[in-house]
Amino acid sequence: MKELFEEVRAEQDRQLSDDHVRRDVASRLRDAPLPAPARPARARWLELAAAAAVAGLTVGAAAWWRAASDPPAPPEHAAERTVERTVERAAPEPALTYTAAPEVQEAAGGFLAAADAPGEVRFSDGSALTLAPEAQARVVSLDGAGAAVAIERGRVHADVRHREDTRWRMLAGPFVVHVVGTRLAVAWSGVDASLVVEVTEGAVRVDGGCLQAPHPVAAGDSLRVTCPELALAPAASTEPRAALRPRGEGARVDTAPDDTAPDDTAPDHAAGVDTGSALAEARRSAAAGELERAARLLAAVRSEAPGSDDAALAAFLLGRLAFDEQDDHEAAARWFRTYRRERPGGALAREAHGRLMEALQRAGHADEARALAVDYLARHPQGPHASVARRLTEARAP
Amino acid sequence: MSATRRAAPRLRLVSDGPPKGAERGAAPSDAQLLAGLARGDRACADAMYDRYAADAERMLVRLCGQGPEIADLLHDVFLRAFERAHTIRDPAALRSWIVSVAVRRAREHLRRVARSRPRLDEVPPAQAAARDPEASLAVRRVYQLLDRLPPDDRIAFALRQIEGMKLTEVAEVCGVSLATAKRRIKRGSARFREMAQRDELLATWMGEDR
Repeated sequence: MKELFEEVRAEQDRQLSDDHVRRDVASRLRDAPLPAPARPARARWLELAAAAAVAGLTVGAAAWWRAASDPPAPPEHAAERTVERTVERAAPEPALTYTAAPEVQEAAGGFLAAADAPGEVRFSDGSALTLAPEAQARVVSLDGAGAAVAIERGRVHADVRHREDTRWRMLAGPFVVHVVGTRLAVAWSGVDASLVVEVTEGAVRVDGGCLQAPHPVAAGDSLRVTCPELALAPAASTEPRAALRPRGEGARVDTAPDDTAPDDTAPDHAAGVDTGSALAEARRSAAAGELERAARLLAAVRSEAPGSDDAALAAFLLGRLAFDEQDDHEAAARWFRTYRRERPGGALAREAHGRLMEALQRAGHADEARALAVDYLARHPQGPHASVARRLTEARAP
Repeated sequence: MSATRRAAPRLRLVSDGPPKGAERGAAPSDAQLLAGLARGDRACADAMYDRYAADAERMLVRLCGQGPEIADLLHDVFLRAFERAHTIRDPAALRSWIVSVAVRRAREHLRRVARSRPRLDEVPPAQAAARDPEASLAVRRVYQLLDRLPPDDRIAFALRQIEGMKLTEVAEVCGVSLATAKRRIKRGSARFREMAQRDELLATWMGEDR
């Protein structure tokens, strides 16, 4: 046994002679602020004792008041309440907050999208995400230990500050990348259900999707997974009806939403579809010039999740498609109106207001456009459509 | 007389200099590092890391085995050390204190992993081990068997058998009495030997113990 452990020691010492782990950690420690000295345990005990005393008094007073007004509760319930209140008083870590750089557009549904240039999103714990051009993500949840970020499409680089209780999750389609403090890049494409995780520092664990078991990825390693059975649009497929595949065995829904004409040839839609992925795919189709497909996907989102943030966003994107790509200003005006009606205080409300004003003007509805322009200048005097609005208000009525 | 205009030397600040209290050119003492850390002196934190990171990393690797989690554990050890260094009364004990912080962090990690691991009567085949592809099969197998020991017994056993610590040192870094440390090592040894002797791969190493 002695020889065995000598072998273990020798091999470990050989590996430890490479100092890359120590250099990585040194870099992480130097990037982060020096932690403040922990308060003495005695002080913490005093605080806890004081909190417990306050909680006890509170519960006691509440119990006295309740006893005076209500029938007495069973003793075990009273004990539960005591525990609950004591727990409530233990101050939880404040939830993280974040701010997005100007390059990052914040859109309806909590979307963060980078257009032509990389955009950074900074979190209050010092962590940062960088969205590559065209990438789109959404901050799904925030708490004191970290955040859950859903990558709708594209590549997102994350620099997560490590603390003892750090818990970050990067959600990419059906995959979950568990991060406890590291630098990594995650790229997701819903089109072919492919995930790429590249870790430059620390380690992460990836599970979900078509992975049979959690898969660790360490610094310097990358993981590439494609799940053909989860792909929205398999590249090799020539069958347009397979473009959007259902998650379950749900029946196909071929209804055309709103006032869009039904298309018998390629519904591109099925029940149970992930509307976020469909939105991302619609944007990709529009960028590739596949306008009809993009319109069908957006219409499908609206019929799949009526009243949702995704449906409102789809309305806005349909308006933009009609305006920018099809010069159909009447249709564009209808969609921008729809967005404003569904999300009057939405993240895109100002943009929809300006676009509606422009669409109406180009469609020949000058009076309506002028009225909207007056309203726009009152609400958004410095808005991106302010100059258009001024020209409209200054123009003489025909 | 011709005046030669000489270019001013180009100076570049490469360091803030030694921590306060340290003589230029001399490494700061542990006491100076602790005093500097209490003042929030970044250079002292860096110097402490440079001095003791290898010890802490080695301890983590001995206890947990080589793996991708070592970097996060090492990071935690020094975050904790920076936060709590002001509690050290004897600066001469800094190294052993950092080692004990590493042992405690490894213990927490092993306990958490043990809770999440399914309980199996049989150790999975050696070929399935993929903790560290660079390690020899025997080393990987050792850590697979260690995974089957209770964390406290595993730590005491690994500190004694792999790191080669004296019994008193094991007791000190584990924060237990000498008798408890001995008891844990004995239990860990017996259980490890039993598993290793039944293991196809490790049985050859256990010849004299059979």
